[in-house]
Amino acid sequence: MSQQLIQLIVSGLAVGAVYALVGLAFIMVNEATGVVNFATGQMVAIGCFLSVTTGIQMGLPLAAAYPLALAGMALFGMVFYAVVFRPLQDRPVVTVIIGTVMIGIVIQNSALITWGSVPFRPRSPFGRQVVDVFGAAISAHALFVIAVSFLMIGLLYAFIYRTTIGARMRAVAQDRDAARLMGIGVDRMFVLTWVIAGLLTGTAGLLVGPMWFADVNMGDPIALKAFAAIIIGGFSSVPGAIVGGILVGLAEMLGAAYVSSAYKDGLVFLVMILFLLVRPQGIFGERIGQRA
Amino acid sequence: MRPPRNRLAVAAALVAFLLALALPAFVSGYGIRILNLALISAIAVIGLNFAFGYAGLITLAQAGFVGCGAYLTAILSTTAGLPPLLSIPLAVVGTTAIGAAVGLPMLRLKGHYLALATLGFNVSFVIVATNWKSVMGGTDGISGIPSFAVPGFAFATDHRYYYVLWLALALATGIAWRIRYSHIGLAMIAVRDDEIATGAASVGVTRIKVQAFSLSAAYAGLAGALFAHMTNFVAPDDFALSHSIIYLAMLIIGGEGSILGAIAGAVIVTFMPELMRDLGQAYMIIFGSLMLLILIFLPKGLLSLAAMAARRIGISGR
Amino acid sequence: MTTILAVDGLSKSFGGVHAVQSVSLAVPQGMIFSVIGPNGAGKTTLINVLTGILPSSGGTVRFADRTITDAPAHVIAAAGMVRTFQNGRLFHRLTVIENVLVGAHHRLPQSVWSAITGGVAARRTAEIRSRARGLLETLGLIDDADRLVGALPYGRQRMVEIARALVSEPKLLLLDEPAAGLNSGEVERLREVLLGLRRDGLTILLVEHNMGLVMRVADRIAVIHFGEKIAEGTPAEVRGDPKVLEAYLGHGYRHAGD
Repeated sequence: MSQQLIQLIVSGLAVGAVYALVGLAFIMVNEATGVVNFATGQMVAIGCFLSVTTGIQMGLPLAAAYPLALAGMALFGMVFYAVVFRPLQDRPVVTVIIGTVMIGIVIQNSALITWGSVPFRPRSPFGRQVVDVFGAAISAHALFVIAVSFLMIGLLYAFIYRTTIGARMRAVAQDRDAARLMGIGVDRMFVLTWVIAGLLTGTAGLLVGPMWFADVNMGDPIALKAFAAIIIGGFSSVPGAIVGGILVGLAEMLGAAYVSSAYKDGLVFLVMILFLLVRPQGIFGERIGQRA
Repeated sequence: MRPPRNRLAVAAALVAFLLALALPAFVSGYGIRILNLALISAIAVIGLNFAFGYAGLITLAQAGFVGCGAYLTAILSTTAGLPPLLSIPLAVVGTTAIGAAVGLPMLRLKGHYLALATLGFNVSFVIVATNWKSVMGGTDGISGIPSFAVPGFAFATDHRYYYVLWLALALATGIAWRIRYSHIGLAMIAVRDDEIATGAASVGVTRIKVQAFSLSAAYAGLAGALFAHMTNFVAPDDFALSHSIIYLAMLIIGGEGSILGAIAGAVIVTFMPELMRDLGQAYMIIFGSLMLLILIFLPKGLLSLAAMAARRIGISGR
Repeated sequence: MTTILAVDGLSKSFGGVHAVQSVSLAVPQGMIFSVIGPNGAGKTTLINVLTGILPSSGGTVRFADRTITDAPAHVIAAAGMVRTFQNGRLFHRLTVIENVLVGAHHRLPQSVWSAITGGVAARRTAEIRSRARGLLETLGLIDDADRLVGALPYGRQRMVEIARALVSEPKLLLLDEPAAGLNSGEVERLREVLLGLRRDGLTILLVEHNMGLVMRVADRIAVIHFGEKIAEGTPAEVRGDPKVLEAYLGHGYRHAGD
């Protein structure tokens, strides 16, 4: 394998892992609460900017800055639950779509006022360090992104499938009313879902910062790729989001290098539309394309 | 099926008509530009009302279709040198065809799947417009688009063009009204209320959905073409996904399922940022919050508020 | 007498559950043919397969000398087999008369252009509208014609559904439990309507739970139990059939008979 190909694959995996985290946040919320959250991208931006505040503006070491930013995102998830989810819960799909988009606009412009329009460049814990992988020079941060993303995904899996709280969350996702009858505190599970969404998007935000820039407009492009990822992987499938995210990340990097850098995004959306038309359940999903 | 007739409503429409004719005399240059934009948006939103308001199809592609109309007329009137009087109808026909071609495969999807598929179309449109430099001009767009003219008279100023737009909106409204109260309009509304019962009542559901979607594309095409001949310049940014969302917000805020609601929503939402201009950077925050509050507390739109007020003082429409 | 609807070996299964198992029926023209059976017998599934709402798993359906197995719902309706739904499915954003008019959609030109220009579409719409008003008159709904359908009491909504089915002048009317939820006065009214329609030559396939109604209006009855047809005949024959009694009364009947 050529050096360039290895570099492209690693950076594709890194970007894809970020999309997978964002896609998972989207799926967790949609499965548990039925809300299609179009402000997911703005949550990523907030996560990134919180790390700017703790890491750059407050000057904390990253070992303290990252946990503090994530704590902020957990809180943000709770606020989102109270201010956005409660009033929009059980409204028609379109109301939720427009409502979350409007919240996205509010978040984005609040970020603009708070952090300004000049992008920040958050530093990576590994600086500009380069590692040798099969003879190719790979940025250490890219490897860090892949490692942290998979750690998060592993923790999420363990939480959902190995703990009683995770089992309760799954019960709520499957049948809210039955879960309530069994004495599960449904509302508490909803809060928890939003906290997890905050942590996942927040992690994605921390990780992309050093790769790209912290910019108030960064949310939408990331969210759009995450949409594409979960449609390709399967709308309600956790492994689907991971595989879909990585496919989109790889397609983006390899497509830019070997096909056309101008149309790399078009390629991704073309594949997404093809999946919607031919296999709306995605790679891993069950047959749910007709579900409204 | 017969449109409700009401003398008061007819009188109100007549007064509105006369006021609208005299309006440009009282409005300054910038104000008339915003007014013109409101009229153009109103046409696009009346179109969206067919797809979403009547047939319940959640589409996030309306700005993409507005873009199709704008770019088609831009290319036809610059590269091909056609007069706007010809290029506009051709752009509408072309956009309708694109709408039908996109709708036919996509309309099997429902709810947020359809929303995401149409979102994909809109994003793809912008990507193509940004990168296909030889035909669509890339990020620079297409400039030098001629102003609207008929033989012997050019509508080169915003004040003159206002009357063209106004006529186009009146025509678009009249046609929408006819369709709403025809068997086609009834079938669209029926599809959203109960798709299975609609099929069982002899309506070809897929056909009606494609018709509603193509109609909304046709109206978008007209709006886009009229826009291009006002600004004399088109670029991808004007047709981004965020505009599709604004069109949907206009319809919901005015009152979905109602032609008057579509027009009211377009006018209100177009002027809202202008009214909040003094708020500076904070205005988008206020705008977004206001929209959210309307969605939560007035799910049937501002027009339902007006209807409630009208009932209170005893001039019910039906 | 000619057979207007011939169902041959029709089956429908959901996964491993056989909701309808090889059911054959021959509905003669001009009759009220009733399908009865205990709850969950598969009657509604049978109707849904007949009218193209659900795909079949086997068998054929012939209607008016055409094979219509698994044709789309609107094609079957346009061919002249029109149905109502068990719990009533109306268009709540439309008025009563508008609901009825939707039933005649296939009688009108299908293009948007025709709706804009008027012409043939407008003329035919006027004819259909006057027929719709006539139907509303007959069914006692004319005063409600311009009200939103949701504002009507349940019994009247069921009648609106029948009007919507009749406006296209079908050859066969398929009613799925039309008496469910009606009071005794409304059931009586329904009976008169059904007999009046048969007098005018319409064939009716009546799926019903209300035995009193079925026994008084049906010319022929088929009994479905666990997805299979277990009996068919005149009301008197069916009433005396021990298999039918067992299906309805369960083992208690057999013990009593032993």
